[in-house]
Amino acid sequence: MSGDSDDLVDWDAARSLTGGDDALLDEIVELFPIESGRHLDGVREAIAASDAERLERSAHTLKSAARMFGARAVVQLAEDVEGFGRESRVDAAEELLARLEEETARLVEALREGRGRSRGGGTT
Amino acid sequence: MTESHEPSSRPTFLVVDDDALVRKLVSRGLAELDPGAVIEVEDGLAAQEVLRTRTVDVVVTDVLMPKLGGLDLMKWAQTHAPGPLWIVLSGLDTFDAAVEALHLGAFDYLAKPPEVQRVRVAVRNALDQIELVREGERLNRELAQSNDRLAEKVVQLEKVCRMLEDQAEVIQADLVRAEVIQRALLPQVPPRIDGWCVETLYRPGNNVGGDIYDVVMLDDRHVGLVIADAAGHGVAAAMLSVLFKHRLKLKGEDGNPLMPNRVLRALNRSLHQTMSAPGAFITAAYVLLNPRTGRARVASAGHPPCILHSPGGESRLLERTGPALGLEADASYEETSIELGVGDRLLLYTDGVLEGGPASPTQDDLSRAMLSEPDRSELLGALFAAAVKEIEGERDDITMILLERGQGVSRFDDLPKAAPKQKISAPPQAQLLQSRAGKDAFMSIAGTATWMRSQMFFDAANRLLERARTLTIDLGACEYLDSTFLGTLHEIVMSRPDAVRLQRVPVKIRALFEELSMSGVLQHTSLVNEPLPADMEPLRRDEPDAVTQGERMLKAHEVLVSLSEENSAQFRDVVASLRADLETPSS
Repeated sequence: MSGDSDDLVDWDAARSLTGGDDALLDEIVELFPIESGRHLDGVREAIAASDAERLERSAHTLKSAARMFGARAVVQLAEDVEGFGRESRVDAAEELLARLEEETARLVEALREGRGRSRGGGTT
Repeated sequence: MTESHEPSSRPTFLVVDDDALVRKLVSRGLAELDPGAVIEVEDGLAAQEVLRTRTVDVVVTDVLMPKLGGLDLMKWAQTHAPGPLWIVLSGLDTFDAAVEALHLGAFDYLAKPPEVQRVRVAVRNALDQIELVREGERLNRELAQSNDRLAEKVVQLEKVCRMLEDQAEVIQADLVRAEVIQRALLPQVPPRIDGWCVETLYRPGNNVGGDIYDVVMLDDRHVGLVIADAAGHGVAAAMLSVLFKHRLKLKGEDGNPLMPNRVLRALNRSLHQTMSAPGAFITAAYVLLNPRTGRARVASAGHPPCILHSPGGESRLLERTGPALGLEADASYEETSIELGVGDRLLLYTDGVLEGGPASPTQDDLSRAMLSEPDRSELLGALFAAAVKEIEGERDDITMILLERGQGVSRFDDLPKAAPKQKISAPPQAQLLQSRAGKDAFMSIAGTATWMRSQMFFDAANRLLERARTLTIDLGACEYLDSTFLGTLHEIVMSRPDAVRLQRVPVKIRALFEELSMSGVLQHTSLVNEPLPADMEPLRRDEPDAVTQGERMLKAHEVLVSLSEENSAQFRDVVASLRADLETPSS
């Protein structure tokens, strides 16, 4: 297990989205923890309320956001949860929730580190 | 939501996505397009609220969203907020939805996650499209406006045309009335002069003319013959001739006939005082005859020479004996004395006989005709026919008086009293043209079209209709259609009511249609005037045989009879007689 954020984040993919605009990249990196937290809340609440539709939608949005950073683990887990939501299998989704939370937390951490590093401008 | 779109105003964008990161990327792309406003909302319901209250140029929307998805938002907007162009954001997993959005009319779609560059390109394209559409709408509006103006002009022109035609009708009606009045000034019944005959022929060039004549028994020993020609023709000349007649005094205060030189001298003085207009003058000749002795005195005021002819002898020209009337204040006139024996002829005429036509007789021709034409009653008619032969358009007034010493019936011929509307010269036959350009065929009728050309026209129209989708018949220069041609026209229109239309129908022709209840034809008369092609050419000149022509006349009149009771009453006899003619085998 590596602590290097490059394993979790595809910075090149993210930069191509922003067209090389690092300020904009910083903004979306900054936004991700808040947004992903909101979407995870949505997933949790949907499971608690057995609301399959909301489950699908919240997982879908989390997946879209994670895809911006090429975060394969979060994308895969969110997509699975989204699929369970579509199939109204809320119990199966609940089993994946802990891993999804964990991977999202790692991604947030990696982004924070990467962001710090990118701000450092290669002065390591 | 109906604010007007000013092409120059900066665009308003609406971004709809529940993912703040996506909204940020999209908005950054839009920010580079100099927007008036970029509005971000999280779901379809919020987007509805914006679209209800603002004019939006481009909407960029996600598909899968809480509360109201992108597709349902688009469907709602189609009826409640049409106008913006739509760009749909779609990942691979919602690609089907993106395709459906395109079917609903979305302008484009963007793959998720969206790249700023691609957002900018797609929205730039959308703005270009909006600009194009607005430019097209603006051009269409301008076109519609100029069409309206043009249509207005056409209506005005048609109005003016109708006014002119109405005025022309009024003038024509006035002329017809004037003609009636002028004819009342002509002698009505030839005087009975024992041992003498008088033939006259009077043909004004128009309804009214500048010629006038009189033959009057003054007492049992005096017959006066007057012929006069006012300068010019038409209304002005006619009024001069009326003035002449009014001032003409053949008898003195004592009731005795005045000598010709005195008659002309007095007349000249009177007219000279009255006529101040330049170019207003009258030529005249006055013959005072003693019918018992055959002796006569002749005075001529600038008039073409009278011709005296004795059988077997030379012709003698009686030249003018003074100037035309109205030119000199105090002109005097000589007299020529002549004597007419039995069989002798004296011809008085106006210069319309000699002038005008390419085949008009000369003075020598007139003399020879007096010599060679033994039948007095044929002479003037033959001279007139020669005089007007090959004349096209206007001609001068023509008057002739033939005096002959001999027994017989006198006759005044100032013909068309019975049918004052009929033109004196036979109208030239119609000019019929045709042209076919692809699916549209054209025919035109100019002048007077009669039964003589009906079959030819009928055949030509049917030939055109075999190959063309429409046939426009232009009557702009049509002056008259006889009943056979009218019936034939009705047949052509009703044989293909989907294809045939008439245009530029003159008021008088329309009146003929109405008079004969030709409602079918009237319904296919168009107010829109198609320009005629440049390559209009004459119809093929088939000369149908008499039977075909008879059948055409019969068919045309049968058609007319079927249209109304009045037509039936009017043409019943014609139809019966044509049928009888056709049933009888021709010899």
